[in-house]
Amino acid sequence: MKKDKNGNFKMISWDDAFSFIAEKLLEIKEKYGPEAVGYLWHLDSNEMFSQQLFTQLYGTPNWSGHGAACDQSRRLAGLMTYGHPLPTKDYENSRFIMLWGEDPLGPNQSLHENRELVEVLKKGAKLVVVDPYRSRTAEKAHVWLPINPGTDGALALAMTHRIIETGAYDADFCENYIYGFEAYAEHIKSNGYTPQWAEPITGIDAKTIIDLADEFARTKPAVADGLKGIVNYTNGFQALRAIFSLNAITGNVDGPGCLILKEAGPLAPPLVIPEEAVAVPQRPIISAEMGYPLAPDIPSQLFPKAVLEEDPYPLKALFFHIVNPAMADPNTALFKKMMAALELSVTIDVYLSETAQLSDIVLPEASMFERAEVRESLWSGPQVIMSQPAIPCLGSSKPLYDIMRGLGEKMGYGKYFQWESWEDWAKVATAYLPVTFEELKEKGVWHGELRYHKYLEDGFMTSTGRVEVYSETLSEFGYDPMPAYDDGNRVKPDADYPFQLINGKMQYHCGTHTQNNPYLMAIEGENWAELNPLDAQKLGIADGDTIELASPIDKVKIAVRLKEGLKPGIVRVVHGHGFGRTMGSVARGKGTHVNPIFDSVVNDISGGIGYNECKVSIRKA
Amino acid sequence: MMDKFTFFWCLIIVAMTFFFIGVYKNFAVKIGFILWVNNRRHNGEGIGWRENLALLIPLPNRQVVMDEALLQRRIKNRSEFLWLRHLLIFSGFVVIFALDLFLTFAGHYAHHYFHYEYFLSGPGKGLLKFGMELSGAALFIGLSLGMIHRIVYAKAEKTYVELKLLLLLWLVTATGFLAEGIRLAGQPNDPLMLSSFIMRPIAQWLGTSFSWNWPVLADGVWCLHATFAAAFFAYIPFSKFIHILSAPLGRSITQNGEYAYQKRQRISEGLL
Amino acid sequence: MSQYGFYFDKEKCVGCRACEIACQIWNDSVQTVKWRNVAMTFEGSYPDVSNVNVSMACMHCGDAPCKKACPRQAITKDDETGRVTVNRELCVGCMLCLWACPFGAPQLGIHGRMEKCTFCEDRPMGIKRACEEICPTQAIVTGKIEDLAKFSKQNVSGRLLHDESPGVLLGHEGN
Repeated sequence: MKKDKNGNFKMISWDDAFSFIAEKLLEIKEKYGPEAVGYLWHLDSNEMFSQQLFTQLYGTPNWSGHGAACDQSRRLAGLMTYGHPLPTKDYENSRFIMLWGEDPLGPNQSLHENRELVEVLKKGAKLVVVDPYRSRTAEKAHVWLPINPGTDGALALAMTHRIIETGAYDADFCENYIYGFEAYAEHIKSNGYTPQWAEPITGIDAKTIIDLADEFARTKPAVADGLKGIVNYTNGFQALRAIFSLNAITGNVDGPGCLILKEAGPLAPPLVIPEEAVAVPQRPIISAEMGYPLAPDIPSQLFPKAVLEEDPYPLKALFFHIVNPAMADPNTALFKKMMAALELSVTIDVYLSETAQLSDIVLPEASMFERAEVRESLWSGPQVIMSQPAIPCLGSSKPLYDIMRGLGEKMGYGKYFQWESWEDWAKVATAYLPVTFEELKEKGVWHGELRYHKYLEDGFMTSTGRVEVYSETLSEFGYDPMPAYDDGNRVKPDADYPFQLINGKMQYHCGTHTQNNPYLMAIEGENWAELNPLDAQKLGIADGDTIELASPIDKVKIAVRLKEGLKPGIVRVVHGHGFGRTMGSVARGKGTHVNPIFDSVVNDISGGIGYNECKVSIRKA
Repeated sequence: MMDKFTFFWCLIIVAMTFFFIGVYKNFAVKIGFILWVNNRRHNGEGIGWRENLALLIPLPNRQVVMDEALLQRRIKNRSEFLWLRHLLIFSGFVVIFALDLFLTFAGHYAHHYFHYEYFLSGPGKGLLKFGMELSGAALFIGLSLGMIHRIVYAKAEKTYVELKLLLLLWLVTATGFLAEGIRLAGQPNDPLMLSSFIMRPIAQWLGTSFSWNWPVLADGVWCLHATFAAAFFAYIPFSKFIHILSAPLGRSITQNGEYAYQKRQRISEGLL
Repeated sequence: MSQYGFYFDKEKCVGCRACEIACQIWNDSVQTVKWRNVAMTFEGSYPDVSNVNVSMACMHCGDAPCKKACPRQAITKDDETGRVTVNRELCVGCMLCLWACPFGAPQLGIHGRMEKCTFCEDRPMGIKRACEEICPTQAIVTGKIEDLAKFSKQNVSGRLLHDESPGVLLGHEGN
């Protein structure tokens, strides 16, 4: 669909759409260079086509996932510490599991993980959850530590201090596989990161921290990890570095029941592009020029600046593939301004999302039931999943390969898109797997072998080949090379805005995707804010009231629920609802869109968005 | 020939015997069992009988009774037509039944024991007659609507509506009207003629068009009416008409389903 | 005759309510209200909070009270599988079965007739029921009651039911 002059969408043919976009793209390449085009995507395996088209053939470096809104800080911390962006957890064999702000049994379910977790709990493993909110995982935990928001790093450092002080660390591992352990031990001691120091910061008493550290060091195998609850703070990167270092000094790396440096399945790029045809970008990715040289994905809040101020270089066209920044990113007003300033904006999505409404062109993509996918799973070992279309594409929708092919042909790269059906490219993509294509097609999945202690042979993929608690790379770019606790920049509640606003996802919905599903909407039809009854009593708020949350930049009205399992002084909001005219009849007008009150606060190393750094005042509405 | 009232009393005795057997078997025993089951369940927890009673009968509040027993809100939510139909049958049946009872006690019994004639032959009779014709008409319209709907949408409604039951009650109502019409046709000077706003024109038309032996015919039709009515009463506890007794009780006590939620919550609390 | 039933492990249930949705979708053509429900209870105050999630549908009791409570004999128990079902042609929607049911399982559907779990009547026996199949943590297991009994360290049905007939298995008492 294309937007006409009046801003209304009109149906156009695929051919016209491809011609229009291709023409525009070639024109932009001519005028501003290929770097003026950005492509944003969510997690979708078919992205390899867009990657090959946009980065390899067209030549833009600005092709980026949704990391900034997600686990950007964890990814970078993983890279800087282990040289691996996505360490997974081997719950199955673990005996002590410590999760910081991570909720695998709640909204962040991946099926094998939560099955393994509940099974291992039945077998007697101990689970400790550090989270100011009593999440679904915390409900099953043996110990729930409601920590002060944003102080997770202090707890991890205090535990490290105790472990180093008592000598309970794995001396052998530290000597052979850790880079900079002595410096780190010295750093921890000289900065005085003692449990007593952490007590007033974290709100967890020193004795609990000492016991926890002792038990963590004593129990093997153990695993400590963090996700959303940490990465949504601006100090989350260093906190995760501290947690990863904690795993490292106790020797809990890449063994059974530890953090696993996941091996990727051997997938090949589906399009065969000869080396001489690959375009080399003339200018680096925008994030590198905007102060985030290490960011794995482009922090999405950089786009408005790049587009509106043409800094560091002009950005004229943006593609959005199954991302909905208009709903998901903070500061919605700025995003709208940016969309208006773009020369070309294209949304490829299954829904007519809020972002699609603001775009010039909307291309309907086939849903997961209508398209094929070849992808890596989140299992700790190498695993490849091949999903096959269950039904033919409905309406005029097309799978991403066909869309990229159509675009590619119009842009003159037709000869690289020679595959006719999904089987053709899937065969190429899975060529290196040790199973035949027919077998894979029948089973749908290939499991590799889950190998432990891969570092014994291969070392770590860091610059020094060891686990880097002291990171040379960070030091090179002028950042603190070792995990430190820095509370200076964090947005904290003050007299005018006395509550810390943290956010979460709903267990029954998937981000902003499922609000038009009547079954799920029957379970939870709207989103809400949660408040401890103690706070509510002081403010005279009862369960079910509507409250007004006011942050320094905006205010929203939202229903409130009282929750005993939430630390006082905190408001927790659940996001995803509050659709206006888009999305469909079921979602319309239900709940509140809360993102306008979040300001764009970002981690200054990784560029991850600090959704949880928001101070608010509450008033009964 | 057997006297009209002897026949009537024989019928009543037979019908009531069946009725009470049915009510005992299909209703009283069930309620007793439910009370026992609920009682037994809570005894295990060591609760005294007072608390016990409070637990096993969640007292329905006035709102639930209003909604469920009188206004049948759930039926209305499903379909306005069904609600109207059911409300006509329900109100017609309840009102005519109440007025009948009233006539028996305040009319016949008062006449017999106290020689109080106001409701039997005085102006009160006219009032009652008017009310009964009105409610009878409501019942008749409701039943006719129901039958037409059932026949037209036979496929969809077969599961939910039993035609023969509708027909039986419809026959009771129809013969009732007919009996009254024929009786009035034979007594054109009846002082209560004015209160009969439905059957009066029909009776006048019958009386002028035909010259049958009205009193004998009236007795015959009346007997038919009495037989159908008795059969209907005997059939109540054995048929879907049992809902007359069980639905208002069950729905009010379970608070229109809220009780299910409470029970599940109590079980989960028990497992906490 | 064999008796099939549900086994539910409260320690594994994470309260995601996928079973409710799976039940709704599988029984789409006949179901008008949710047959399976997850009851969630929270207790205590910060920071000592405890809670439990219990996914419940009809337990297909060995000695079904609803069957005895029905004034129309509309509820029958299948000899072969032990499933308890409502015949909607006989039901008058009086809700006496709900009054009698220890689990609050029968519910009034939009047609004014009682509805309840049919143990996925249209699924052949021997494969997983819809709710069991979807459960991400395998908290729900179905099967013959004798087989299920070995999962359970203690059968708490006696505490909740009117009799301790082996028709129902519920819960799993802690480690």
